Amino acid sequence: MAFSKTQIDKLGDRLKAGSVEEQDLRDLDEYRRSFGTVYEGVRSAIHLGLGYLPTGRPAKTTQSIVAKLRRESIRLSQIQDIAGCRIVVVDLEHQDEAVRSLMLLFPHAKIDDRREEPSHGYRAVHLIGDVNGKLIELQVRTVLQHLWAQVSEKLSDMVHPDVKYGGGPAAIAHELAEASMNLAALEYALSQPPVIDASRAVHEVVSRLLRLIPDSGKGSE
Amino acid sequence: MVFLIEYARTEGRVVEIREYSDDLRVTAEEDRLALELQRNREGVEREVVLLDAADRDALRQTHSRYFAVDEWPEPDMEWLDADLPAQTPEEP
Repeated sequence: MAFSKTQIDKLGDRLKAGSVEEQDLRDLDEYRRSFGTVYEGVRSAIHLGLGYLPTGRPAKTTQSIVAKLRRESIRLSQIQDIAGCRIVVVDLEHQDEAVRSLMLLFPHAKIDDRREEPSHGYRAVHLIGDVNGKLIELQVRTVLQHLWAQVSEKLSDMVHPDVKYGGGPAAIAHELAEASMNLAALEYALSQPPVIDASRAVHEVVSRLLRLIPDSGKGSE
Repeated sequence: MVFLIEYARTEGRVVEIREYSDDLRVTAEEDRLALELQRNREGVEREVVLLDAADRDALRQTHSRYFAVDEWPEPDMEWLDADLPAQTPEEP
């Protein structure tokens, strides 16, 4: 069954209000699955056409959708990252190269470059592609941008959900902001001549970042 | 591969990971919904997500958040010492 935009947004309103019935979860699942064909086509095109092996998330989780609806003045039908793919590359040069390649594949994609103006410390390049009316988010991160993002996510899960939006305990927010700035500066310095030895500095920032994660996040699954 | 992950967010730990071959994607989708509905009936807050990755190592690399930190892959930082791109595209 195809949903109208009004039906999708009414579903979003119910999810936002917190009155989630079983049928709402089924409808949300069906709506997310409507992105499946486009998602698979995009992922396959990136792999076969460009040679990257993206990790894909065919459908944003219910919790993430609800959180986004509550956090932002956005309707369910407007969420751009219901489905998405992620590519992690080594450095800024390869990140630029990946973005250029993706733009050849999806010339009408919108670029959201969060490197110059990070979003609460989050740095990456996102492309939003529109394929047959379905929006797909393509994330391109460097190894260090990705590591920072994973720590931020983990702390948001375990410490406070606002951590990744610059909130939560002040000490953690400060450490994350500082690590983001330091990693950005190091990445930039490494991308420019002359070649510098930044290995120790990078490892120090990374070690400090990983130490922020509570012990319970360090056990086995 | 398709991975179905049940994740206890506040505890930061994976409860279960199920793996499916690509041709069983529909089964994975149905299992994901069934598990989410079951947890909802039980009143248990869990994130239930499907992810595509070449293998579990690739999954740990790009979605480390779901794993305990001591299971995170070492960040590939050989490039700090040498010009070694980690994900140069393969020849299409």
